[in-house]
Amino acid sequence: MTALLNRLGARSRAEFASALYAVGFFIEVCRQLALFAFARKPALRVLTMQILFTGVEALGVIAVLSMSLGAVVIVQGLSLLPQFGQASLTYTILIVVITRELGPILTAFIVAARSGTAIATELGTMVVNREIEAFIATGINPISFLVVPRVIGVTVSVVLLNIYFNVFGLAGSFLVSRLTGGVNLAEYTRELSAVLQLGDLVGAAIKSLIFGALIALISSYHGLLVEQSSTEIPQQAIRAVSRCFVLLIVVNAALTALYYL
Amino acid sequence: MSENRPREQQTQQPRQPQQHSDRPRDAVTHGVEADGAAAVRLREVSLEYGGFRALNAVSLDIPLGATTAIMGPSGCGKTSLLRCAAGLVTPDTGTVGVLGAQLERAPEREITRLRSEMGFVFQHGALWQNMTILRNLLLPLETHHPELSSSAQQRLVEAEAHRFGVTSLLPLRPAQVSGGGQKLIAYLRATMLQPRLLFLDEPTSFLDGRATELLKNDLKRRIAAGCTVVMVTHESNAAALIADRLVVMDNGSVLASGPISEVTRSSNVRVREILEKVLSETAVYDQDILTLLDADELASEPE
Repeated sequence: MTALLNRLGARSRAEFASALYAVGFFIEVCRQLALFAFARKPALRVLTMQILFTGVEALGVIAVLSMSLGAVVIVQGLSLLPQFGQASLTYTILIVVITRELGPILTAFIVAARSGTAIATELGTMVVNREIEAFIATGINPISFLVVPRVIGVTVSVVLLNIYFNVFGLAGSFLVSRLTGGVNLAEYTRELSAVLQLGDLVGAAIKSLIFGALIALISSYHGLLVEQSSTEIPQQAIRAVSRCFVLLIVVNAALTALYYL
Repeated sequence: MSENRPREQQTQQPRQPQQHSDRPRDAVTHGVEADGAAAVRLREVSLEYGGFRALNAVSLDIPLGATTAIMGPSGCGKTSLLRCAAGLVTPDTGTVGVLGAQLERAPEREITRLRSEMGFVFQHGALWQNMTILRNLLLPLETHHPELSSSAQQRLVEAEAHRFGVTSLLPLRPAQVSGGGQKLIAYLRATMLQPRLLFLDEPTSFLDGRATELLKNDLKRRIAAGCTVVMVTHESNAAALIADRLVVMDNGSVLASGPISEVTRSSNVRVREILEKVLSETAVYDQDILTLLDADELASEPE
C-alpha cells in the first residue's frame, strides 16, 4: 500500500513538474513572440522557410483534398436534399461543411501531419546533436530563433491554407454542379453569396489562427522534450501529432459550440 | 582584416604570468584557488542525469588568462563540467560564475553579452545541419554585430575560412563535410567573435595532422593574446603543448587542480593512476608529461 502511494506521489510530482514546464514554455514563447517585432534577419529567414515548407509545399495536397471534398458534398446535396424538398439548403450545407467546419479542421490535420511531425523531429534531432546548445553557446535564444518563427509561420500558413482550401473546395463543388446540373458560374456565385455570412469567414479565420498556433506550440514543445537519445525523437513526434489531433478536435468542438451560443 | 574585426584583441585581458615553476608542491588543490581573478568559478556544483550523478559538489576556479586541460577517465564528468562552466546546462545545485557574472542571477541581456565573449567547441562539432557552412559562420556575427553590413560579415567569414584553408567548404551543408572538417568549422564558429573565454571539448579529435597543427597554432596565438582556454582532452600532448594547468577528474569529482608540473607530481595515487592511464591510452606519444611523471617516480623511489 505504501509502495503504491509512493508511486502515485512520485507520478503526481512528475506530472506537476511537467505541467509547470509546459506553462513556463508557453509563457516564454509568448514573451519572445512579443519581442519578434524587433527580430533580426536570421530569425526572419527561419520564418520565411517555415511559411515555404508549411504553406507553399502543402498547396498540392490541400487542392486535391478540398476539390474532392467540395465535389462529394455537392453530389450528396444535389442527390439527397431535393428528395426532401430542401434543394435550396445545398449551398448552406456547402458553406457549413467547407467554410465553417471541415475547411479549418482538415487543413489543420494536414498541417499537423506534415509540419507538426517535421517540427518535432527537427527540433528533437537538434537537441540530440547539441545544436540547441550551440545556439545557447552563441548567445541565441532557441525559443526566439527556432520556436517563435515556427509558431508565426505555421499560424500564417494555416490561415492562408484555409482560404485556399475554401477556394478549391467551392471550385470543386462548382465543377460538379456545372457538369451534372448545368449550373453556371453567375448562378452558383449568387446562390453561394446569399447564404455566406461574414461570421462564417471570421469564425473560420479564428479557428485557423488558433489551430495553427496550437500545432506549432505542441510540436515545438515535444521536439524540445527530447533529452539525449535519438530513440526519443520518433516517440516525441508521435506524441506531438496525437496530442495535436486530440486538441484540434476538442478545440474545434468548443469553438463551434461558442459560435452557436 | 584586423580593422574589420568585431572586437579587437587589445580588449582581451593580458595573460597572467605562469607561476607553476615556483609554487610549492602542496599548491595542488581540489579546485578552489585561494586568490586571483577567476574566469570561471564553480561552487558545490552537482548535476544528475536520470539518476546518474555526473558531477558531485564540484568547486573549481579557472584563473583568467590560464589554459586549463581537464583530464580523466571516460564518463568521469569532464564534458558535464565543461557544459556547466559554460552555462549550457543549469546544475541541480551550486553556483556558476563566468567572467565575473553569476549565471543564475544575471539578466538575459547580460548573458547575451557574456556569450559574445565566450566560445564553445562541441565534441562532435554540433554544426547547424539545416544551414550551409557559410551561414553557420555568419550567424554569430549577424547576432552580435548587426551593425556590420552583410558584405563586411561575409568578408570576415571568408578571411577566416581562407586562413584555415576551408573556403571551398563554405557553400556546403555540414553533412557533406568530413568529421574533421566539421570540427574545424566548429572551432572557427566558436572563435568568430574573438572570445575572451574559449571552451573546447576534445578539440583535436577527428582532425588530421595538418588540421591539428593549424588549430594548435591558432590556439597558441589566442592564448598569447590573453584568451582563457578550458579544454577537455584525452590527448596528453595537447595538454602539455598548450595548457599550463591541469584538472584531474574521477567519478564526478575534481581530484586535483593546478599547474601541470605540480599536478603531475601529486602524491594522490588515484591522480597518478589516471594520468598514467590517459598517457598510455593516448595515440600520440607525449614526451613532456611522461618525462615529468618518470622524473617524479624516480625521485620518489627509495634510495
